[in-house]
Amino acid sequence: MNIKKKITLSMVALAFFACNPNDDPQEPIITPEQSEIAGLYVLCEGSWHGNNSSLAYFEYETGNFVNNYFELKNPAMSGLGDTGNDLKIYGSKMYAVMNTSNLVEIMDAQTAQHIATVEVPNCRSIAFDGGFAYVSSFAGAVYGNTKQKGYVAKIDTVNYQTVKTVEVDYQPEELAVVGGKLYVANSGGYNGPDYSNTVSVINLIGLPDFNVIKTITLPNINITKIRADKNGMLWAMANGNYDDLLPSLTVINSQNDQIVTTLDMNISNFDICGDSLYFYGSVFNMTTYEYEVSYGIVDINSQQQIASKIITDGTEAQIVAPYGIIVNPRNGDTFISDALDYSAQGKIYCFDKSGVKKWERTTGISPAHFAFLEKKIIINN
Amino acid sequence: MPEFQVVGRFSGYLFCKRTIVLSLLVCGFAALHSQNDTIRHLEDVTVTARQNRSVVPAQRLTGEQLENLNALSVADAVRTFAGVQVKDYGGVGGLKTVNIREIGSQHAGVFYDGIAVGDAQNGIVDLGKFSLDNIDFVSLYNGQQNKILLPARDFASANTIYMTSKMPDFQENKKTNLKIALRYGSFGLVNPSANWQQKLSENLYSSFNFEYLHANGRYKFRHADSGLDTVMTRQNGNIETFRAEGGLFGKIKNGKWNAKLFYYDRWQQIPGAIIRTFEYKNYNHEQQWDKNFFVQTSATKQVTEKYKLLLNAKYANDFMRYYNPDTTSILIDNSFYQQEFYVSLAQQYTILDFWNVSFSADYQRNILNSNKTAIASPTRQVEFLNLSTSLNFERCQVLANVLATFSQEKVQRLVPAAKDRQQLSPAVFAKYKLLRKTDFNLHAFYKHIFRLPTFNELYYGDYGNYNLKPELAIQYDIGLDFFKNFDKKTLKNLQFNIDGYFNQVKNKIVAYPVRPSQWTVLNFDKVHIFGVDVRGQNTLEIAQITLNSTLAYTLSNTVNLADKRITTKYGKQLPYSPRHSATVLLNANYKNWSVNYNITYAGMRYTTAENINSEKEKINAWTTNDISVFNRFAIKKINCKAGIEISNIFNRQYEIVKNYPMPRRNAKITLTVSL
Repeated sequence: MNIKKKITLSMVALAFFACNPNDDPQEPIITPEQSEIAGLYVLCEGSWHGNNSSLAYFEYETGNFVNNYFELKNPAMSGLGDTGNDLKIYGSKMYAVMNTSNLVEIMDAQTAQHIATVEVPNCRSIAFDGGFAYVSSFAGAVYGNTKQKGYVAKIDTVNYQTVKTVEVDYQPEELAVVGGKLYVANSGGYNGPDYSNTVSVINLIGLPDFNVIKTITLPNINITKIRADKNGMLWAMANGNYDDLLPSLTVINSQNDQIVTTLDMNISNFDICGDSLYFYGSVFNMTTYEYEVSYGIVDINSQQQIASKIITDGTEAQIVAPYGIIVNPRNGDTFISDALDYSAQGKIYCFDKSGVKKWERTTGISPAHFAFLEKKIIINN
Repeated sequence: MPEFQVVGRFSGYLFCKRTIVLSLLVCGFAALHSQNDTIRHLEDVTVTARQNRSVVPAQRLTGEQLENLNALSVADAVRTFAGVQVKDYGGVGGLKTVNIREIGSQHAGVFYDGIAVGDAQNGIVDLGKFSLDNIDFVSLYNGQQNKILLPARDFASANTIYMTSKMPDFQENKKTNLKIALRYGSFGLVNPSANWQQKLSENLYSSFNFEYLHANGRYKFRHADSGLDTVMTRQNGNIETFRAEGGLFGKIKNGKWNAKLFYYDRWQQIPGAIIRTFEYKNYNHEQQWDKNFFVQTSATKQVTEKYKLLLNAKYANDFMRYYNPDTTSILIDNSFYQQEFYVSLAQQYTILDFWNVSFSADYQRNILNSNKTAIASPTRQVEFLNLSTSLNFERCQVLANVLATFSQEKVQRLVPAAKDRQQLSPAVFAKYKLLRKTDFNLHAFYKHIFRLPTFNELYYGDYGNYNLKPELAIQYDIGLDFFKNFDKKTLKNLQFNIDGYFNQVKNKIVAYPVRPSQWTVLNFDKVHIFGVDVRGQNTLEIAQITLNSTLAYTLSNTVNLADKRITTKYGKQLPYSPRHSATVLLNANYKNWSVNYNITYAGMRYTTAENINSEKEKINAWTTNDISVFNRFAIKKINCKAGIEISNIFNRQYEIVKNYPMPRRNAKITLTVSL
C-alpha cells in the first residue's frame, strides 16, 4: 500500500507542480524519511476578503510539500474560503474554521476531500471531546447596542448539527478540554483597549451540561490562546494591551481552577510538546520597521524558562514575522511559519530537534495553523 | 535646491533664443482680455476645433460627449481618459476613486467650478458623488492647469481634474431655460432631474439644478473564481441620492463673479466582497450616509490693462456615517463631521507682452470630529503661497512656478499632533512648436509635489501614525502633440498626442501589519512608474454623417521598490496596475440621430505584490462594449431628446476590484425635454 500511495501522491504532486508555475523549482528537495506521523497540514489564512485561504500538505514519506492542496483534492469547489483561523484533526476528519466565510469546513483527514460544512458565524477556534466539536464564535448577543458577547457552539461530529450554544465573555478565542471541562480564552478584542481578562469554564459532564460553571479572572488582559499540558495544567497566553501592559503566560490548575503562576515574557504564540513549551515573541519596531523576535522553551514541570533559543543554526535571521509554531511529538521536528508582511506568500521552516534547519518551503499567504496527520493503520485492503 | 537649477536652465535657454514675437493667439491673457463681454472664459469654450491650447495638452470631455458615454457620474467619464484608473466596486453606488498615472488616488486634485473639493480625512474624492447631469465639461490636466492666474492650491496636486458645471446660456430674447430629464434603467434605476436657468438682468443670471436617484443595485453576476459557476444576485446595493445646486452668475465692469450652493445627500448600502459563505448566504448589511454641503464664491476682474485679480472663497460641511448592523461581526457605527474654510487671492501682472507673472496666497482650515473617542479630533491649517511666471513666444511657451506650503496641526486628545511641515514644490511646463506652419509641438513638464498624510493615516485609532512624513510625487513628462483642421471633404480634423513619462513616488504611505490583526501606516515604499499615453481624435464627414472617433491607450510599467526583505515582490508591477489599458469612443451623427459605440479595455492585473499568475491572485483582462442611440425631435416648440443606452452589450463578467463583480449587460432609457 505504501508504494501505491507514494506513486499516487507523487503523481498528484507532479501534476500540481506542472500546472502551477509559482512553486520554485529551485527549492532543494526534502529528504524522505520514516515517521510515525504521516504528514503535516498547514492552513494559510490568505488575505481578508481575498477568498484565498489555502491548505498545504507535507508528507514525510515522500518529502513532498504541496500547496493549494484543498483545490487539488476538490477541483469542483472554489477553494476553502476566506480567512481560515484554526485547523484540527479529530478521528478521521479534519476541521478548518473559516472565520470570514462563517463556516467550518469538514474534510476527510487522509485525503482532504470535502465532506460537509457547518455554519458558525464569525467562528474562531475549535476543540473536541466525546464525539462533539466545540467552536468559539464572536457572534453572540449584543448588549446595550455596543458590546457583543461571544458564544461556544456544540456540534455533533456525526451529523454535523449544532446541538447547543452557550454564551461566554467578549470575543472568545482558543478552547481547551481537560477533565470534562472546556476552558475558553476571552480576548475582548472588539473592546480594545478594554480587553477581557477572563477564562470561561464550561462543564461537559454532569447535568445540566454545557453551562458556564466558573469564570477565572487572570492578572493580565487580552487572552487569545489556551492549551492543556499532560499534567492537567492549562497555559493561557495574555497579549496585554500592546502598549504598557506586556504579554504574559498564566498557568491554571484544572483540578481546582486556581492560578498557579504567571510568567511575564515576550510571547506571541506557543506549542506544548512533551515536557516543553516552545514559544516565540514578536514585537514590531516602529523605528526600524522590523519585528523583534525572540524564541524560547519553558519546562512545563518546573514552570521556568529553560532555553532562549529554538533555532541554533542562525536561520532565525531570515525569518521576518513568525506566525505559527508546532513541534512533532514523535521526532522533535519544529515547524515555524513566516507570514512576512501578511500579504506576500509565506514560508515554512522545518528544524530538527537540535534546532538545525532541515528544509524550507514557500506557502500560501499567512501560514498559521497546523495539524499533524497520524499514520493510518490499514489492516486490510 | 536642484529643482531651481532646472527652472533657471529652462528660462536661460529661452532668453537666449530671443524670439520675442507677439503671439497673442497662444497667450491666454490676451484672449481673456478681449472676451470679457461674454460670460465664459475663452479657454473654457469648446469648439469642434482643438480642445485645448495648454502647453501640455489636457484631456477633456464636453457636454455632448459626456451624454454619449452611458455614464451617470463623473467617475464613469474620467475612466475614458488616458493614464487613468478608476477604482470601482460595482453597481450604481459605491466609492469610485481615480488614480492618475499610478501615483495614487490621494495625489489627484479634484476641482468643482474652479475650487478644490477637499476631504482631509480620507484624502480621496469620491467621483461617484458628482452626477454628469449638471456638468458642462470634465478636464484632466497632468501636473496642473497650464495658466498662471490660479489659486495656489491648484498647484498643490500631482494631477488635477476640473469639473465645470453648466453655465446659464440664453438664446436671443429668451429669459428662461427649463430642462427636465428622466432616466429609467436596469437595477431599478429611477433618475429624474430638473435644470432651471433664469436671466434676472443683463448682468445677473441664476441657475438651479435638482436631481434624485434611486436604484436597488440588484444585478446578476457569475463569480469569476474557478469552480464557482453559479449565477447569483448582488445583494445590499440600494442607493438613494438627492442633489441640489444653485448658482448666481454676475458681470461687473471688466470682470465677473459667481456664487454657488451645493447640497448632496446619499444613503447607500454597501455590497461586500463575494467570498465563500455557507450556502452563499449574504452577510453584508453595511450602510453609509453622506451629506455634503458647500457654498463657494469666485470673482475675477481686470483691474488695469496689466493687472488682473481672482478671488475665491469656500465653506464646506461634510457628514459621513458608516454603520454595520451585522451582528455576526464587529458592530460599527461611526459618524464623522468635517468642515473646511478656504480663501484665496490670486493676482496676475503683465510685465511685458510676452511675460506674465502671478502671485497667489491661499489659506485652508480643516476640522474633523467624530462620535468615537478612539479618533482624535484634529484641526489642520495650511497656507499656500505660489509664484508663477509664463513666457509666450511665437514658437515657444514656458510656464514655471514654485509653491510654498506650510501646515500646522492640533489635536484635542489621545496622541500628539503631526509636526508642522514646510515644503517648496517647483514645476516647469514648456512647449516648442516644431513646424512653423503646422500645429505640431514638442512639450515637456517636470513637477515636484507632495501630499500631507490624511487625518485617518495620522490619527485613526491604532491604525494612525502621527509620525508620518509627507509622500512625495515627482513627475517627468515629454511628448508630441499634433492638431490640424482640414478643409477637405472627408477628413475635417485630426489630433494626435503621445507622452512618455517617468514618475517617482517616495516615502509612499502604505498600510503594514504590526501584528497579525493590527495594521498601521508607514512611509515605507518607493515606486517608479514608466508610462506612455497615446491619444488620437478625428472627425470625418461622409455624406451627411459626421463621425467622431477618440482613442486613448496607456502603457504603464510600475516598479515596486518596497521592502527589500521580501524578495518575491521587490521590483514587481504594483497590484491592480494594468500594463495596458485603452478606450475607443465612436460617435456618428446623421440629421437628428446620434449613435455611439464605446469600448473600454483593461489588461490583466495582479492582486498581489508578488505578481502570482494564478486565478486567485489576478484579475483577467476585460473589455466592455457600450452602445447608445439618441434622437432629437421637437413637439411644437419643445425640444426633446430620447435615447436608449445599453452597456456591456456582450454580457461580459468582469471585476475591477477582486471579488467585487461588475454588472453584466444593462440598459437605460432617457428622455430630455427643454423649454
